[in-house]
Amino acid sequence: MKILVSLVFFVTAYVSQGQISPNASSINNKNWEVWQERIPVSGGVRVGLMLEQSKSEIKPNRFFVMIPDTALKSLCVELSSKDGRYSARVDYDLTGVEQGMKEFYLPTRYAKELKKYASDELVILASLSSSCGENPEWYLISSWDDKIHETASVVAYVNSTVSTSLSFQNGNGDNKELKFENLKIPTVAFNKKCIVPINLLGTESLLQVRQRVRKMNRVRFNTYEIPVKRF
Amino acid sequence: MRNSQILILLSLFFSASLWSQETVFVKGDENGNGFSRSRYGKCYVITPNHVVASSGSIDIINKKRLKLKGRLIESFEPDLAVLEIEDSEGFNCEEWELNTNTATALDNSSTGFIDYKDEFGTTNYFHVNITSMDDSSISIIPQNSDTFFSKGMSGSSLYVNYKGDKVLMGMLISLENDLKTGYVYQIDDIFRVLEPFFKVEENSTEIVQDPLCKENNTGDYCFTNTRDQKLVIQLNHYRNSKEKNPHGYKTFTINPNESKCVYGLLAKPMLYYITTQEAFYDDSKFRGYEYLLKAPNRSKFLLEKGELKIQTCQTNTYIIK
Repeated sequence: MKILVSLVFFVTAYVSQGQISPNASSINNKNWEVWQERIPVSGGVRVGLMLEQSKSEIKPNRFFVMIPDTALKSLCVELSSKDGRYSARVDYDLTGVEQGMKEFYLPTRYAKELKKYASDELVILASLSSSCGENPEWYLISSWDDKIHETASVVAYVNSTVSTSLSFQNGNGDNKELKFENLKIPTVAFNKKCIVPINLLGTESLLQVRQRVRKMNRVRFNTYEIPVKRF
Repeated sequence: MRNSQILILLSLFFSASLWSQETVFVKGDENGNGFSRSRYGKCYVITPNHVVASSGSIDIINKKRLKLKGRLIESFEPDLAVLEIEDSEGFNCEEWELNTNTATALDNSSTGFIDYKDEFGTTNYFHVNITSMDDSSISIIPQNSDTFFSKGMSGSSLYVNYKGDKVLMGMLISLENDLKTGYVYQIDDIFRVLEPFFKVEENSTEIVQDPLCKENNTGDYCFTNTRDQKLVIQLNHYRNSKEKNPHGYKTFTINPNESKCVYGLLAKPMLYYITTQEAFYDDSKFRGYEYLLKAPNRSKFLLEKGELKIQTCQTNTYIIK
């Protein structure tokens, strides 16, 4: 009993320091996060949208998201390790949460394993929607730490086997196009990143991931949209 | 390298197997691939279960960028799922069987290629070396050191070129712990696992003895819709010819406003199953569905209110009420 009381106190104390806990329903099923030795190779193109990290190490039980002023209350978070071994999906309720850099609690069972990843090897993709499972309305910028420097950059991580660029309009309405650079292998869940200075992005920006593909001797572009909202 | 790429392209476009199965993009909870296979005229997609296991909605995209809705019908151990394409109009979907050269081709191949589609229907492929195999799986690694397996490739097809033919060997499922080696389910094992679902029953005397079937039996044709919500048509005669239909079978749409003569000749009495809806006699639901009839006698199909008329092109008309 004493141990149980101590444990409850510990968890409450840990979570209550401004951290937002996940929706209980999203972590009821133990498969909300998986660690796999044999890695299923299913997954999408958009994998992460984060601030460029100032520190290499991560604290796996917490992360931060730049929450904008929004009426949408479902924050849907996906985590992916570069080697594909770890992946997670977890939802948070933003009711009563004001805009700002907010801290979220990640109740992972694999903290020991996750600590071995550098901050750019375990990436976060956070999105806002009316309900998780539906198409995201906005993607938000995440981070493993809460420091935002004036010169900060946003990094988009994608899984793309062809030449890929990121196009968007800056705050002045000028079109910009930046190339994705290849990451060092092994890269299973994501293999390219593109760094965008945050001051080029308005509070609402439409990033377009453009894959250059060739079909029947014609060049075509596959476009994946990442509408980004920030404060 | 260039020659082998040309060879792959030639296989992709001119192989006899081209019309048998098509690799498609599957967008479920995860993104992956799968391949199509028909059963009783309905189109299905076989994909790894982990791509669609917890999906609310599933989209299937083919090489023509046709986007169709899919529905998870059944999952099979260890990691396979069968999806039904809800309205497969315009989608080329064939009832195909294992290539008879599968085992020989695998025994004699040390290389192959992975064929996968992206979300826009673009076909991608790369060469692989076959490093090992057992009874049910094949291990492969990319030939090019710059190429690697990545997320989104689950369900991709592994092919080998065997005597100029493109032979399907299996489906990519996962990546081994070394992050280099791909784990592929062998196609004959996939067939074994999915056999209960895809098995087409033929020549069953049990159906002939079905009381309802007997009651409605009008001589040449025997109908029932009581078994597994399928319409069963038994064609008992093969009048006017001893030849087999060279086209195998035809797919057609039964439409209340039109009729078609379906030309085909039966070599022997056989049973055919036609998938239908539960409310078979509800013509509003019946409208527009695709049905498959294998090599019938020269017949005419008419759908009028509450009745399906099947009429031979020569003489008789049979009505199902």
